Amino acid sequence: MSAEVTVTIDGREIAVPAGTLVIRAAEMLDIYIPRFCDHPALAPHGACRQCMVEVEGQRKPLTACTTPVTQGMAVRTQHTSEMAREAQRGVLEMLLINHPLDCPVCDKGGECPLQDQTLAFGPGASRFAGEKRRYPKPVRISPLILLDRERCVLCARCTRFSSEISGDRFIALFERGALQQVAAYEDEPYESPFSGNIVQICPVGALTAEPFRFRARPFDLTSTPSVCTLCASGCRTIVQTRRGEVARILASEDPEVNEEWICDKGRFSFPRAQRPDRATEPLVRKDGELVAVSWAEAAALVAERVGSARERGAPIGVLSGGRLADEDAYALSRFARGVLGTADVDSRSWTADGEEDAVFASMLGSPGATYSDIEVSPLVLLLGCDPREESPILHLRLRKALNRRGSALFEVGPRATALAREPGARSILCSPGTEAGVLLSVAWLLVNPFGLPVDDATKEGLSSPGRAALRDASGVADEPVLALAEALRAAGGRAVILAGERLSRSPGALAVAWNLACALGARFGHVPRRGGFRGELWAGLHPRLLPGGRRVEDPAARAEVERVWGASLPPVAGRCARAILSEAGSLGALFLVGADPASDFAGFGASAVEAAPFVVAQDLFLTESSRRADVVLPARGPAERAGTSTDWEGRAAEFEAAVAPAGLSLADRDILAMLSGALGEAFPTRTRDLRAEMRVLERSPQAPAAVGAPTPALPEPDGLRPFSLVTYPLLLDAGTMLAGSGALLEIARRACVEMHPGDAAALGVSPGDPVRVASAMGEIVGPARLSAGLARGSVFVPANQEGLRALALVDPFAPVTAVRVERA
Amino acid sequence: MAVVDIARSLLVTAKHMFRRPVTFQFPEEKKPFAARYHGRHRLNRYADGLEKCIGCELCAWACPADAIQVVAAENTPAARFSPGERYAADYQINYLRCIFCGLCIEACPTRALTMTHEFDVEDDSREKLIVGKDRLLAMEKALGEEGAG
Repeated sequence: MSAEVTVTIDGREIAVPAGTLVIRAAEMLDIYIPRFCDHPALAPHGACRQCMVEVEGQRKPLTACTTPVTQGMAVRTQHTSEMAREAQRGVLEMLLINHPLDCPVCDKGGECPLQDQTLAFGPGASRFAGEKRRYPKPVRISPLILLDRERCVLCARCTRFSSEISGDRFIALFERGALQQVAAYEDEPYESPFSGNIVQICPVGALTAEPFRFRARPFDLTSTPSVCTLCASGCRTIVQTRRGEVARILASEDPEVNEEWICDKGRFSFPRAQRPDRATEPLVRKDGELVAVSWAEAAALVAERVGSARERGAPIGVLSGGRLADEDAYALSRFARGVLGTADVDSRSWTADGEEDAVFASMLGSPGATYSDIEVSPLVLLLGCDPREESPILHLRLRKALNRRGSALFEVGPRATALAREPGARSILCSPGTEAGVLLSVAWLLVNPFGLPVDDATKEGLSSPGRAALRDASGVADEPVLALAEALRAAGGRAVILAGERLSRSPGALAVAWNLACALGARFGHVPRRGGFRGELWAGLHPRLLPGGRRVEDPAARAEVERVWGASLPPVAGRCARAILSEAGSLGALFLVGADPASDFAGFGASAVEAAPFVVAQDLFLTESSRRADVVLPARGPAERAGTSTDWEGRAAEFEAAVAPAGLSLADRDILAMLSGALGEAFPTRTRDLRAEMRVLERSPQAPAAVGAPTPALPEPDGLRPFSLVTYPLLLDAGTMLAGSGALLEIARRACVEMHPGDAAALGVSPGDPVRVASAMGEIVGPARLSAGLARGSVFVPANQEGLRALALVDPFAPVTAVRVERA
Repeated sequence: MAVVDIARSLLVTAKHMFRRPVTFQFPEEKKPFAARYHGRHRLNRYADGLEKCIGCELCAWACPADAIQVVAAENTPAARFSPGERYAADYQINYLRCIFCGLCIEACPTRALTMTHEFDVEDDSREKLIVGKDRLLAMEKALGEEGAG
């Protein structure tokens, strides 16, 4: 590929790498060759024949999208060649023979490449006088996607996307000749979390999306570039509005981040804004009922209660939930620590141990893994993360690395992800909570027999005494561990280690993974599930961290923050969310800012919110938590606010508001400034002042430093074993930001209890049988599903699926919840 | 010379005393308009009663005064308003904005929107001058050919 060749296109010379397609070379010269099937992200196909060009020395025109350039090639496009012009006109006339020309009712009308190119290059009239091909319309290939076959020009972009990019082969081209058509298996609907992309890349109106069908004409929409904040992938989007309401969301292009894809959750969940449980005005509890009041009254009440709590010396807890924009997160951290004077702040909804903060502190101050690193890395180690469900665009990028770049992937955890099916991927299944043991074994192999050079402290940490016991508990054989260690040694500093937030359920595992990355010089990435988490972590919404990843215990770091804020900070570390909630009764006030502990911590969270004497909830909706609060302050939601969002890589992107806010809602930072005013404290009221402070508090990047010896622990055994509960939320579930999304929720996976076939046989369970899963917290019954991609002795139940909420089973105080499983 | 001028202008007046007057007694008396006169709009139906409008919004897009609003929806077997899949669930013309240029009826692909010879646009409130689908469909009985414009 390194050799360059020189070609002449329309008389202009250009040097391009050998193997470049003619159509790409022409683009470099700003010469546009019309096309339908060609798409830069998809393999060349040559289906539509629209890109015909004349090549000197060839008798017939060639398709520019499949012809690689050769040295000295002379290409003439429709601009200079009558042959190319004639060929393109002919192809357009042929394509239009069966195309219905129902542009006025077609959703694509106005942004349709067929329409545009017919106008630009096509014949004015058709010579075809016969009857056009007709099909019954439309075919519903999924609850979200409709197919009008008579509009299709058989470019195969959708089928190629499905097989090449998303890897869900639910649609294919059937039949031959004039009857060739895109079709889905009737008993297997096109239920892919990436299905919306095929609508966006369809060059005609053959594929339309149910949520946008007939809602507006594309030319009547106002576009605002935005960033999707529903997960930590950081996808660039375009929010299109009509008459002040979001009409649709499209993927925007960023080759560094989402390329040009987004998932269906980001694309189709916008109808949430019209939900009736949206909080649109401040509410205050009076005689047991939440009643609407003015902002001034609500702020005065909060100030009064906070003031009396301070007088009594009662602690104040502040929880956020990974949903805030960066500026809002920073404002909350400043409000909690600087104005309320509390250290009890946390943004994590998972149960965490104390070793995380050292990793986070070092991670925030050093460059981490990026999407580009993943693409070129020979080895990715994936821990505690299911990208297809938690960060779908990361899944696509990992899939690309495996399929196109020949990378290898190892994943360690109790449940295999969808990536395990890809070439070069290997799943090491271990008991939940024992990931630390597997990682310690890998590290020990690397340091001792393989002789990876590390300092003594790291060596000691990696040879932790609990290693052997943990390894035995994990149930992992020697061979895969050895294979992983060898692969890591071979990849060295080019390896990428990705850790999800669930890795923290294995005590010490995050620290071991971090130290391993430091020892190898590998890139490390932390992939949280929620889009605002990274920004909240940076802002210091963590009991032991101040803005910029500064440690609370470090007096110099504290002084830096105190200087910017003009306030003195409590020198002690705060309590984590779990600890704050378990002593909610003794709190003076509990602030929930985009946090919903009553859902995230199920019954434990709900009773904590009930027990807290005064609860202020800043939220978009009346959630399980905010409907139990004493004051509900309506915040602005996605598309209603401007701000910055930081994705899992640490890459920040600004976005603008696209629609007017609902009711009287205010941005979180404005609510906090108002509350500070009511408390008589100074607080920056303008976003740019907050941003200026954030810039001052930004630390210069440092090399990642290994953290002290981790202390992995074995999950506590108890009488309910042998089963351990594995649970996490799937992409589409009964979550707050998805409720009311209509057709999108129809493709959510049905709830089930997933078990290993061996365990199922031992219990006499066949697929579909009702299974009872009981923990100390409660019990649920769901249909069994057998999967070999699950560690023995584990049972997987999605955390928050409609009708089967495993969150109700989770023990908030144990890293791994032990359950009893039986046939119901 | 002034006397001659006065006499000349008196002669003009005198001549008109013996001609048919141009003035007619509106509103008692009405005169036909030019066939393509741009009066108030109407929405048309097919002979079977289905609406010709397919809710394509091309009229709204063509309108230079932003006077037309269309919101489309999908026909269902139980509630069918137009042939095909799409119909106008809401159709409004704001006569406080309309400049009667006729670009909307030129844009209409189904001749669902045409202009009548009704020209009196007056009412006692702003709301009443924003005319909805019900009143536009009722204009069918108004003067003028369906093909007007």
